Amino acid sequence: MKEMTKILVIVPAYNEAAGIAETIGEIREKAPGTDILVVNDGSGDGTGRVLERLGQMHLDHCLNLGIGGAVQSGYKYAERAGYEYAVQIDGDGQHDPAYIMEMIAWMQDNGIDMGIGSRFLEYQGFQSSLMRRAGIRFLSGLVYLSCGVHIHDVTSGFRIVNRRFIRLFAADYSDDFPETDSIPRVVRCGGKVAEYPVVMRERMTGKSSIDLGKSMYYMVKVSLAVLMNSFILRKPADSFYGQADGDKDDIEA
Amino acid sequence: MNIHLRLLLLAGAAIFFGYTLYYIRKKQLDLYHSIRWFVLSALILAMALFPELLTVLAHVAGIEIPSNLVFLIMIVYLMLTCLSLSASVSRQHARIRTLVQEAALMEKRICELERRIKASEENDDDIVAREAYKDKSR
Repeated sequence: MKEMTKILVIVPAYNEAAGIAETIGEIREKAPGTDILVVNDGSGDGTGRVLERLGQMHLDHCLNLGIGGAVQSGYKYAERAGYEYAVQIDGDGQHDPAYIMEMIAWMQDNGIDMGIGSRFLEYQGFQSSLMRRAGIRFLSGLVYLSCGVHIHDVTSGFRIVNRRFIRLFAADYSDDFPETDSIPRVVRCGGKVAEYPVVMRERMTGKSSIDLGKSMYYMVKVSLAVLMNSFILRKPADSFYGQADGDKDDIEA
Repeated sequence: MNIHLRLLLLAGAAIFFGYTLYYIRKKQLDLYHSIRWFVLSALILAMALFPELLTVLAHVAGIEIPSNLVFLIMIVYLMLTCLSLSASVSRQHARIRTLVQEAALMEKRICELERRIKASEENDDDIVAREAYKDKSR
């Protein structure tokens, strides 16, 4: 891997004051040479103060936007600061940052635009509940129908995109539960999406943003998002659709 | 359609019209949104003033009692209004999201600038102090 690759690790954080320091420390240790950007999504528990004290690069949302809005802020920053790869990683310790560098090398070697860390390729580590796996399988089928690409772990929040799709996500990213429906969108824009086997851990702090009450809404909303993907008229975002050729200049500059 | 219902509709039209004007006067209602409610007042007024029209329409639509057509028209109008308000809320939501994100990105830039200015000021102070020290020692 080239030494000069600029990589931004985006860590969305909502009320993660207790565990954020550990997460950041782990990323610094296991993925040296990357820049870390924590997006504090309007936390009320002093996450912002913790970040300030750590001297950690971060963005502060004055309101809670939800995971999609938080991650998108990270992509916007990555776009403007000229990063070549953006890594999305959860602030609760589920994702092991040790995979970041090898995943990027793998993406570069195989010309992959979006790499997804998947726990269902080798079935190791934390596998989530039976119901949830059934739901994920259903969504995976839906994604396959919508874009013809077979991805097992469609809801995985551990993902890496290159500069071209940093642009897309900076311009256009779903609000809540954005993981699944971003896949067909990337494919439709001519991107190559692939999975990389990772071992996930059970979350160290916080709890899943999706409890039982929300899971019905989750399934309906995400299914709709996937199905409507091709139906939605998207404004040609100048920053993305128009500048496919301008990519290289930008990176060199 | 009997005279009671017509009077009721007339009163309803007047109340809606009055309220719409009231909110516009207090600048709590955009003209853009007020049009919808003016149209509603006009619709109610038309139904009160020309009940024959309603009778004919009801007959055409296969509705036996014209007053039921009044309800139907109202409900459809309100449903359309709700839908367009949902769309409006969604637009607002997207705008707020962009604002929050841009504010956060801006704040980061400002913090960095402040830090840089502070650092360079400290640096300047150092230089001044050093120069002064040199002068003295000469």
